[in-house]
Amino acid sequence: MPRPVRVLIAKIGLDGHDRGVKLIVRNLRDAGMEVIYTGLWQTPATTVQAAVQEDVDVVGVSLLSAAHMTIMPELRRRCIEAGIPDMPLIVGGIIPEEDHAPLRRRGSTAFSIPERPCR
Amino acid sequence: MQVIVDAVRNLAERRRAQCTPTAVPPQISTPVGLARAITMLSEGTTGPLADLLSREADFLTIGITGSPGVGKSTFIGKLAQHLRQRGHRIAVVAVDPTSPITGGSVLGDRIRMVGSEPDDGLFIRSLASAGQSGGLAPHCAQIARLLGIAGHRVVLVETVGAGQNDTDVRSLADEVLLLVMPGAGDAIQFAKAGVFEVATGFVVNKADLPGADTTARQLRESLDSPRPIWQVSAMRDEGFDPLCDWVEQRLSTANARGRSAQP
Repeated sequence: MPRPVRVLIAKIGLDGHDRGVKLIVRNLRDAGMEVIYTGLWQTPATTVQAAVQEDVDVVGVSLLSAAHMTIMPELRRRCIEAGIPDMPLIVGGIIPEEDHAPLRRRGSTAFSIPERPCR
Repeated sequence: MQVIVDAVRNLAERRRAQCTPTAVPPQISTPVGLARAITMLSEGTTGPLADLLSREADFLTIGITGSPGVGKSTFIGKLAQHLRQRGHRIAVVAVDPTSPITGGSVLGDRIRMVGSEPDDGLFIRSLASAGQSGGLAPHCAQIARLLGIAGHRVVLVETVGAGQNDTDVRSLADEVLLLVMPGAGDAIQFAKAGVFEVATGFVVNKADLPGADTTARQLRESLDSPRPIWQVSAMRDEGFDPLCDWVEQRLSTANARGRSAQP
């Protein structure tokens, strides 16, 4: 049996809204993944260090603070510096549709979670 | 929700497909290489790392065990922080349970261990128990050893929230600290066979709560050989100096006692 997907889930910055991210963590767990959740108030630096040490396959970030256009490119820059330039980054939360394409160009896959049906 | 789960899975699978397995061992002097090597060990791939694992190294492995919620992760976070302040490079292996139903897991120990700044002298790796009983994850001993060989003086191994029978940690660690909390038992509990026997030291955590002195005294009275007992409050960051002194004293004798021998 192949080893489970390892995914790091982080909240970055001064954003205390973690109800959504906890739901995501539970659903990823129930999909058979190993979910490393680093909790609230992380920085791009601590998140990238965790991604390196944990050797994850994907990093997911929950942002409801409207800082995604700053934080996600910064995360990509630090991934490159840390030697994991190809680490897939995915961001969800309050991410306006018009920001999805610019985020993708700068190295992140974006979702607007409130617009998706939750189960 | 399914859209997100699928996206994570697709991105992960695409990345794994790009990382072709190699017979060349990763460079464990870099964090990326060390992390990769740990993944190889956790998959059971030891071949390319056999030479590395047989190297001599001077480090101390301390198992940290205790029931769920007793404060293992918070305690380890504080202990690691104090030992870092004394200049030691520290590694942590933290095990959390795997779901017997879905195979998934939530590895949440890091939350209680890292500060607001990244620290290059603290390497934390979370592992899933993958259905193994006994309180550890598969290949834990080799992973702890690799972290020691990579230059970490103290390797702290956190078991899953453990019960009376989860004693496997004894076989991989030089020292085993059992965490208890006030009101967690009486002299009869402490006299039972199992995890109380394999501990080489005891930590009464949450010592700011009432009853800590009683618990420590009952523990002391039930031991047939003298073993150290500390009272700490990890949350309040109190009581760690004597414990750190003890760790440093063990460190100074670790090599003399042949602790670097192959497990």
